[in-house]
Order: sequence, then structure tokens, then C-alpha cells
Amino acid sequence: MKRYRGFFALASIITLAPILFPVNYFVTVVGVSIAINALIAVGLNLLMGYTGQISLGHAAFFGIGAYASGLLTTLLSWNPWLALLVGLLATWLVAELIARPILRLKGHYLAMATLGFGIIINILMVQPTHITGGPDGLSDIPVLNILGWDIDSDIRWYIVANGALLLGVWVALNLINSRIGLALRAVHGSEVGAQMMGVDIEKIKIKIFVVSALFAAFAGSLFAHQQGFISPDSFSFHFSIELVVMVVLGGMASKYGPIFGAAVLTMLPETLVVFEDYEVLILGAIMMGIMIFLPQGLWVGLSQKIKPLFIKKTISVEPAGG
Amino acid sequence: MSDVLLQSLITGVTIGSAYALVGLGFAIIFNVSDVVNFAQGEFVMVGAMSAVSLLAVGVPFAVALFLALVIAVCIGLILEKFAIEPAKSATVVSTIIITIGASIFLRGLALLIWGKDFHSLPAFSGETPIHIGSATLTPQSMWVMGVTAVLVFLVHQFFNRTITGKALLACSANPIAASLIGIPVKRMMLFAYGLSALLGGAAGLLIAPIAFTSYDAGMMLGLKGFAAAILGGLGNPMGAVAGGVVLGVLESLGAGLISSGYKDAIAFIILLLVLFFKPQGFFGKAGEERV
Amino acid sequence: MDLFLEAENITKTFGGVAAIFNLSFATRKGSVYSVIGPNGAGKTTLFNLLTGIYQPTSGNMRFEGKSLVGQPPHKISKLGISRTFQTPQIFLNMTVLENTLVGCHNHGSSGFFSGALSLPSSRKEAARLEEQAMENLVFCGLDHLANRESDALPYGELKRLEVARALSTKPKLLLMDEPAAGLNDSETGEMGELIRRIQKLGISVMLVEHNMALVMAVSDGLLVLNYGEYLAEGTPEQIQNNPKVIEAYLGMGDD
Repeated sequence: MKRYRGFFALASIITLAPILFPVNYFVTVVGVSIAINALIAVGLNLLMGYTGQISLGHAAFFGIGAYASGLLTTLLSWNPWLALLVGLLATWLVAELIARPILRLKGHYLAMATLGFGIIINILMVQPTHITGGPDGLSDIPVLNILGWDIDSDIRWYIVANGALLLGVWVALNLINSRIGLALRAVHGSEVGAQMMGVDIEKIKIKIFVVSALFAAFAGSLFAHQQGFISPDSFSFHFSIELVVMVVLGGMASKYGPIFGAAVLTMLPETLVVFEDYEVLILGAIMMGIMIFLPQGLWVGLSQKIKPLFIKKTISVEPAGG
Repeated sequence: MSDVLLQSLITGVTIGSAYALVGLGFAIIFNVSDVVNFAQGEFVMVGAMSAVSLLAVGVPFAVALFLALVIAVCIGLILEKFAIEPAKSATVVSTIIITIGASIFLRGLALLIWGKDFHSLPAFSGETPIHIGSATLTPQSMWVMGVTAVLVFLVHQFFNRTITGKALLACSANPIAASLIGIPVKRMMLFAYGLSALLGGAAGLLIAPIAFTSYDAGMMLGLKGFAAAILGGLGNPMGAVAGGVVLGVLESLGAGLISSGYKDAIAFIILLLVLFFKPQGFFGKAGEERV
Repeated sequence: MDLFLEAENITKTFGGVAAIFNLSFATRKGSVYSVIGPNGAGKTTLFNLLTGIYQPTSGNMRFEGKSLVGQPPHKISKLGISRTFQTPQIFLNMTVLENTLVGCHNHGSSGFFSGALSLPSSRKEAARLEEQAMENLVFCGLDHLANRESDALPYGELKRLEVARALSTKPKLLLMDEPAAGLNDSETGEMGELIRRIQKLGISVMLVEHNMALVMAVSDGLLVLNYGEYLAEGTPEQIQNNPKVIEAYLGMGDD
């Protein structure tokens, strides 16, 4: 089917990369981090790109998933899969509770409220030191095991993380093309218009907020087991911002843009190892530059700028409004 | 117990004054341009760090403070000219990302220039505290409160008594009408950024002798300033000032009574409660959105 | 008279100023009922009250005997009232067909779960809704533009797209807020013809419009508002000869 064409392309790239470059650090090691970040970005894109609701606190949900897995498997020695499930349920609960009042807000207020929420959750990871290990975090998180198969090598993690990513992308694609997806995009286009067409905008915003939180929490659980160690730094305000940049860099409401954005942003510090101190500066410059010069994102923006050069027939290439 | 309260109150009003100045800057920019400038906190950091460097190369104290303010103002003007103005038609989400980007960029720049070390300024006039019961009031606290009060008063007079101040408010009410009656809206925007950078820089200089400063000190202060502005009702400059002081006091009371580790959480919990239950703030105007 | 749309002493104030004051009227099923009045008469406010975007400060509104007061817009849409807007509220981030499909929202039931997994039931439903949406695009003469991005449409077609989208909710009553505003003469004629065809489908229409030629041509009944208050009601002929109406319009120096 046509709608899955890009999906198969993505799956092929993911499959071929480790076969063509089996010992390349960027594929087998960074590739895992890219997949995990991309999974969060794909979920956040459902909320931000398609529904038009900004969240500056998504690192919190990533953190809730990671800490649920980390705490339950180390302190209580639970089975990792049970811990993951409980992490998802906890995220569902928190997201549902917070979404109701938060999503009544718009624009700057929504940004500030999600930001505040993220910071509060981050402080809750640092402060109860006796439980969470405080700023030092949790270590010795056990490996994940799928049907007797220990996920303990780079390539195994590559398969699991990218498998999860493909699953997430598939779900997101389906959702966007469904009746609910149309309603979500309608909310972005015009809230009054959507309401008048029978869309319960309050309910649908809450639900997509929960869905995108679950994407992040799932990624968080994988992250905890993959790293074997977590600390609050990975779930700070700064990471929330990076997530937003991944979505924006790729292009909001673009199907594969967030994956591209996640890849760029995850590789950035790796390629800048020599200029470590420049990382912050460059991140800031990218954010400003993209928004000022390519507001539709690098992925969408560049493809729109390049397309007319090849297609001579004047099909009206309209910039996406808003 | 009452001494603990008194001490919390003194500390709270001191730090709250800094939030008030940052919040005031937020409110001014929001008033004029409908942009929430997330880089506001960086003005605080730039002011303080510049003064530290200037002192280190032997510039006299007063001159160093003055030059640091000039630098902060320049940063504000550059930000407006090269990041806000080119993206004039940007959506709310875009401007949020642009100003956060600017904030991260400035932080990155500060990291390159000053490294990760913590710095501090000497107190403006000695360290001998005044004792009130068992609570203490340092001279620097008095500087912070005093200068803040003067600055707030001046800004208030400026908005209510001068033509430029009134013109600035007109830009926010209706930019098109403002430009039609001959108010140079572009220059007003620059002015607003300069003014709020000045306030932010001043806050940085005032509290640098009390709180350490480093390349990333601006972020939290900026966010707290924003919380102050929301508490007071976005777009209401004097509300932001009140919000800042209230926030500072509640925070330091909370730190004294509960635990200092949760100090930052208290500010943001207050912020969320205000947003949930009284999003127009305590001094803002309520209004039904007309379609 | 059948119970259809009834308003009883409704008042809406904004900060102490009444935009609608103590207004009562009733419309008949199957009719085209127009609301006219000088600018600022409260016509759009009335539509916003009827569709749940605003809540009345006091008074009652009923549709087919069910109270509209306190109902949010999406519930009112389910009761069978839809509308178009003075400034088109088109989803500019979507195609023409997708816009119309959103109008079919009430007539589908697949949720997050079946959508996310693309279950057969959800796909079957999508195909059925698409057929419905296409019928309404054909009805409004927009089918050839189905896959066009809506932000590329000229204004006149945006206005008709709003009608197609509203019709997709299968309304019993369609509120149209200035459907001819910004249209040229031939487009206005087409819009008038479209309104008549909608009426023939058995859908009642309530119209707010400044173009008097259009109003007089299509309306069965008229309500005249002045500063949010009832001024007159009647057939087009009665209204055209009503001295109070003439005075209100001439007094305003408008139209």
C-alpha cells in the first residue's frame, strides 16, 4: 500500500545499515540511541506536529518510564517486562491527570505549564535520594530478556530498539491516517471548526497527550535497560528541549521528519567530540536558524526548496500555512 | 520560630526582587510584542559574568557595573534585531523555540568565554549585617531591595508619564493602529528588548554577590521570572513585580519549613496551580475569547 | 407549529454590555430563516450562542425540544446543528477531501486503538466515510479538487468547502454565517442556488447575510436585529415594507 512506502524504505535502511557497516560505531552504538530518541520524537510529533500542542516537558515521561523500570528491577527485583508494563501504566495515570488541566491552556501558557511539570518531575528524581539514588542515579539495572534471549550486545540492542521504533512508526502512521488522526489534524487547523464538526477537542487532546507520553515512557524503559544506569541528567529540561528540536528540525507534522531530526541531534555530540564545548552553542544556533529560515523544518523545508528545481511544470507548491 | 519566618521573609524578598526584575522584563516584552522571551534569564547571567570579567582585568567597580549593563543591553538589542525581527510572522511555537534557542546559544557562548567555573562579585558596600532579633539583613540585600524598588518605580513612571512609555503600550494594544499614528513600532520593539535586558542585567549584578553565578545560572532565574510574570498576570508589568516578590517569599518559606532541595519545585508547583486555577494571574484581566 | 429551533428571552453580555438582549424567536422545520441587521447587531454572537461557542447569560434555547444551554459545540453538532463561519475555519493543513472527512466524524466510531492498529473495521469505516464525503463534495461542485491542499483554494471555493464539510455532519439545521461575503456576483448567485438545493434536501437553513438581494431571494422568514434586540420578524415582503426596519437601516447610514 502506498501509505507504507516510506515505512518500507525506513525499514530497509535500518536493516541494511548494520549489514553494510557491521563494525561502524555510528551504526551499532549510536544507532541504538537514535532509535530510542526517534521513538520519543515520533510520539511527540503526534502531539506537537499533528495536533499543534507544544510540550516542553516530555523528558519527564521518558524519565518516568526509565525510573519505573530502574527502580522496580533493582530495588524490588521485578521481572523487567512487568516493570515496563507498570511504568507504562504509571505514565498513563500521570499523563491523564496532568493533561486535563494542562491542555486547557494554549500557546505560551501551555509551554510554561509543561515545562514546569517537567522540572517538578526532574526534581522528584533528584530529591528522594534514598530511593532514587539522587543526582548519582541508579546503576546495575539488569538486562532485558526476550524469550530466553539476553539483550546484552550492541547488535542485539540495535535490533530491539529499531524494532520498537518501527513498531512506533507503524502505529503513528496508522493513527494519522485514521478517523482520529483526521480529527487531531483538524484540532491543529481550527479548534472551533473541529468542535463544530463534532470533535470533542478536550478529550481528544488528552488522549493524544497520553499516547505521546506512552511512546516516551516505553522508550524510557528501553533506555534504562540498555544503559544499565540512569541519572536525572538524562531527563532534564534540556532534554525536553532537545526532543522539541528533533521534531522541529525534521519538520512538524512530517511523517519521517522527527526520525531525521533525532538522527541529526543524536549524532551531533558524537561528531563534535573534539569541540565538546561548542555543542550547546551549535544546538542554540540550529534552533534559531531553522525557525527563522526554514520554519517547516530541515526535512520538509529543504525538500520543498529542492523540488521546484527538478520539476519544471508549475504545480503550485504552497508553503504549509501556520 | 518567628525569627525563622523573619529570616525567610528577608531572604525571600531579596531573591524575589531579582525574580521581579526578570519578570518585569518578561512582561514588558510580552506587552509590546506578544513574545515570551525565554532568553530573559541569560541577560541576568551576561550582566553578572561580564562584571566579573571586567573586574578581573582591573576595571574600577562602578565602571565595571556600568559596562556590564551596557553589554547586557547590547545583547538584548542584538537578540531583537537578528532573531526576533526576522521571524516576525512566526507562530507562538516558533517564537518559543527561537527564544529558547537564543537562550541556549547565549549559554553556549558563555561556556566558551567563561568556562564552567562559578564566579561571584564582591558586595557593593561591605559585609557587616544588621541584626534584627536573630535574623540578619546583609547590606547587599538592602542594595537588592532598594535598587529594585527604584527601578520598578522608574519603569512605572516611564509607562505612565512619558510619551515614549505610552507609545510602547500602544504598540501592544494595536500594532497596526500604532504605526498608523506614527509610532515607530520597530524601534519600540528594540527599545523594549533593550529595557528588559537592562533590568535583567541589573538583577544579575545585584544578586551576584549573594548567589554564585555561572554560565548556566540564567536558565532557572529566567524561568522563575516567567513564573513571576504569570503569577502577576502576563502583560501586566507591575503584576509581574508583585508576583516576583510573592514567589521569592513563598519559595524561601517553603525551603525553610520543608526542605531546601524542593525549593525550585515549590516555585513551579505554584506556577502550575496558578495556571490551572487562575491562568489570567492575580492582577491580569479576565476575558472571554471572542471568535 | 412543530418544535424546531426556539429561543426564549436569551441575553448575552460581554463585560456588562449586552450583545444580545432578551431575544425570542422560533424557526420552522424545512425553512430558510435569515437574521439581518446593521453591523454590530449581534448576528454572529447569536450563532455562537446557538452552537455552544458562547453560553447565554440568561434565557433558554431548544432544538427539537432539547435544551441547547450548557451543551458544548461537539454535542450540539451531534444534535443535528452545523454551521459555516464568517471567516472560514477551514483546516488549512489538510486537503479538501480530508476537511470534508472531518465533517463525517460523528458518523464513524473507530477510536484510537482500532485506528492505531489499522484494524479491518476501521479501514472499512474509513472507506464508507470517504464515500459520504465525496458525495458532499460533488453536491457542492468541489469533487474535482478533492485531493488539493485546501490552503491553495481561492476564497470562493473555501466558502463552498465549508458548506460541504458542514453537510457531511448530516445536519438537520445548517447555520450559515455570511456565506456570500467576499464573493463576486456570479459566485453569490451560485451560493444562493446552493442554499436552495440544501433546502430541497430537507435541511433547514438559518442565514446571516448582508447581501439583501440574496437574503430576499432565498428566505422564507426573516428576523431583524438592532443592537442585539428584536426589531421585527416576518416574510421578505413584510420586512421590506416595515417602517421600523427602514428607519434602523437608514438611521445607521449603512447598506
